[in-house]
Amino acid sequence: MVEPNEILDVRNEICTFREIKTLKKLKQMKPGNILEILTDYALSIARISRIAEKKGHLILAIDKIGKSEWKILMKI
Amino acid sequence: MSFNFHVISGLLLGVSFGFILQRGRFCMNSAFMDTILIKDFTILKAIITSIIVQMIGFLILVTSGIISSLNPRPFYVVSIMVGGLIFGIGMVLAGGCLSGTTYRIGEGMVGSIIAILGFFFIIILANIGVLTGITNFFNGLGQVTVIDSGPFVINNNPTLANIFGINPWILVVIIVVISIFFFTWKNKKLGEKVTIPKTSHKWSDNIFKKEWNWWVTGIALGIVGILAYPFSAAAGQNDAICLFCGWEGLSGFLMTGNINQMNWLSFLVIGMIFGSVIAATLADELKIRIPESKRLIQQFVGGVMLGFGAVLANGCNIGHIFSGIPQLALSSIVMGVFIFLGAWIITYFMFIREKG
Repeated sequence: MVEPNEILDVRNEICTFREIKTLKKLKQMKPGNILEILTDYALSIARISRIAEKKGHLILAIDKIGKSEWKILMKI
Repeated sequence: MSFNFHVISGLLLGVSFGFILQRGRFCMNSAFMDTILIKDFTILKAIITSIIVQMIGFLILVTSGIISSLNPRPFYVVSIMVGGLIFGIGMVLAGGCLSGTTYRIGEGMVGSIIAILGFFFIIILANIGVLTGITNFFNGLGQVTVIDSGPFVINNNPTLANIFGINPWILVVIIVVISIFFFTWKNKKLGEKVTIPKTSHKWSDNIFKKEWNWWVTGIALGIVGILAYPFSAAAGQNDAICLFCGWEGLSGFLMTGNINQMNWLSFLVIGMIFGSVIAATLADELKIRIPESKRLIQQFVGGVMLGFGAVLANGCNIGHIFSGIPQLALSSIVMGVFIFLGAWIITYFMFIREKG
């Protein structure tokens, strides 16, 4: 199991503020670090995946952890 | 045709509209924000697809006589620009445009209900309260009309076709070709294409399998938009889908108790919420989600701005971008540009400026 360096919880957030928070967090992180993102909105999985794609980060895993709740692991 | 027929056609088309919006995760707010923040055009492509499908569909409807004419919205220059700007800022603050906010109610997003309350609040002020006449004031600052409206158009409102005196079909063909170039154009990607890693949980594959391709969403929404036009016309409004008009009718009914305040689009709006509930339930995405109070207040303000912008511009993102641009209406094209500008301005102050 990969241990994340940082955890970002964007559950109960609203559209685009999840992504803005993710982008802000990513800027503070070092290459090689692992970021865990908790989200409860399906659209943000696709959008956060595209952020990773655009910024050159790697999505390691996307796990469902509850009803409409997911954990995304991203390697910077 | 009877009142019941209109109620049922409105509800059914609304259910399909809401279902597709939820499943397709169609969100103009996200589309614009992805364009601004990470230069990703996936959702924008779905919007453009829905627009070009309707461009072709509307012209077929009007040439075949299924609808009598196209009805581009009036181009009150200042109203559209100011309205678009305010709507664009409101969209970001509310966490969704008017279509996003509507289907998110069906997904259990409490903040979207709060945003609609803000929207109702300003509509009441604008229709029977202190802001009565504000639209007329802004409209009085200038309007662009044309003398020769060209083929298919009933009023004297400018469209891309009639200001240049070009046949709409020629323009539509040109726009479709440009869009196809845009769709096939590959922009630079830094990372690998995200392929979902295999995990023991099958659902994680499923959620992405269930995720619709942008073009599927765009075509499906375009078809609903085309179908809606003749049903809306049969019910007495020669117009395509406009959620602002639907919500406005609904707020009028809630205020006065007079069922006649409801229009065909009001039933479509009600249907949409049900369609979204159905789609979200099937996908196991229905859940009550309550943001922190600071965010809720922000969403209320966003809803007020969505309402104010839509009142001024006489239409929301759906009435203008989704239904108006396919009619080549100049008002709708300018509205689209100013919604985008509004979204960009608020993003700049909230995020881009901090980059340093």
